[in-house]
Amino acid sequence: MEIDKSFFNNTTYWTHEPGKSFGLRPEGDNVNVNRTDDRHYGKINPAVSPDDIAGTFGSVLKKAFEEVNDQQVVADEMTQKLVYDPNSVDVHDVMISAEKARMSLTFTKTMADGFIRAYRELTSLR
Amino acid sequence: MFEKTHFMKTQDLLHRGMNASVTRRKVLSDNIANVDVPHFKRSELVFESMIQRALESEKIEKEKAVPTKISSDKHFEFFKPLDYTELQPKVNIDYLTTVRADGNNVDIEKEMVDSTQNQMTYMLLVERLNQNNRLMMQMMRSGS
Amino acid sequence: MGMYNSINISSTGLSAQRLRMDVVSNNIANATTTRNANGDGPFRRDRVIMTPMNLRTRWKSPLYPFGLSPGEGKGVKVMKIEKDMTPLRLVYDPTHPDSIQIGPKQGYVEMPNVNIVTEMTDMISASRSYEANVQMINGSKAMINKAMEIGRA
Repeated sequence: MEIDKSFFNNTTYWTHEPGKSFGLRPEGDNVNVNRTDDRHYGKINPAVSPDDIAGTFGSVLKKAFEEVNDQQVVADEMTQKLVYDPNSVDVHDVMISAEKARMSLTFTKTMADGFIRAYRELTSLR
Repeated sequence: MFEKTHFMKTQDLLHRGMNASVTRRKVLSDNIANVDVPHFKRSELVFESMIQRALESEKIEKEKAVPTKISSDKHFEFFKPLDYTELQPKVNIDYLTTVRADGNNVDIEKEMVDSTQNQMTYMLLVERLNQNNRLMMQMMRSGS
Repeated sequence: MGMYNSINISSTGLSAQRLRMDVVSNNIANATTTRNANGDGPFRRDRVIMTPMNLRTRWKSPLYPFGLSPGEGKGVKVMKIEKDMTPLRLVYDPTHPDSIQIGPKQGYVEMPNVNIVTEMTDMISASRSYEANVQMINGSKAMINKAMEIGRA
């Protein structure tokens, strides 16, 4: 009986190289876990610390201002949706986003006023 | 900016509770509108138990004494608490309650009582959210 | 989600119950009509066939995925109004102009198959459902009014 020997010639075997750990899969392959249902375990996102370590004080301020602006934009978009597509948005969604925008803007203004006042007091010491 | 504090978590949960209230109201009004359609089965909304499970799993994971070390980020993680922000309210069709002669199992008194409770819960959530907001505004105003 | 979805669903219920009430009152008004508009027999009782707008299975299907949420319903609609084909009542009255002249039922008049008790029960059920739907709409209005107070100091 003829045995098909081409199988043995064409397949490459993975051999263990001393010093290197025998990985789960060969190098270069990226296994993506495909989740078919939200309740299955899947790729875990790395934990994000609650306060992102930022570079400088300036970048923290800039990020904060951008967030305030984003909240204003979201509130405006919700209000616009109220006009052209009232069935896609809830009453409390609109009111809550407007309230959040107002609070963050008021808070920013209060902080900015405080900083400016502190600066003025410091510079008018002499 | 304050998204991870306990206060904002309360506000977020209140917001989600309001969303679930509105969805529950739709489910209930659908049940009541179909009260004498033959072979109609009532549906109900599941939300509070799911949120409770997620929040309790967060508490439990904090107290677990076994530290787990995961050597590669491609491994599965266990002891991971459920994230309540990913939960959506779920509608269940109820095939199990008693069925009348025409195949309908809507009990209109129960639906009316549920809708009254739902309405009061919604008003309570709105009032609570409002109180919190007023508190924050007062804090900001008195600072300047 | 949406602001008025729950009110829309209840309003479909209101329309369906109102239509049912109209059909019932038509049946009662024509309880003794022995001649149809077409002339081909007495009045036959009308019946309303209602169906939910979101069709779902009648029994729990084992093939339906467990975690899949079917979504909220969309209310009720009246599919059609059909004639009730139950047998007619026969009343013996040879002097009636519509009595049957030939055949084994000679002298009998075919009266409509309208039973006043059934119609009254239908009317009461329709008005109770109507009231329930109206209460739901009032409740939704109160909720929306309350939600509009969110920013108020």
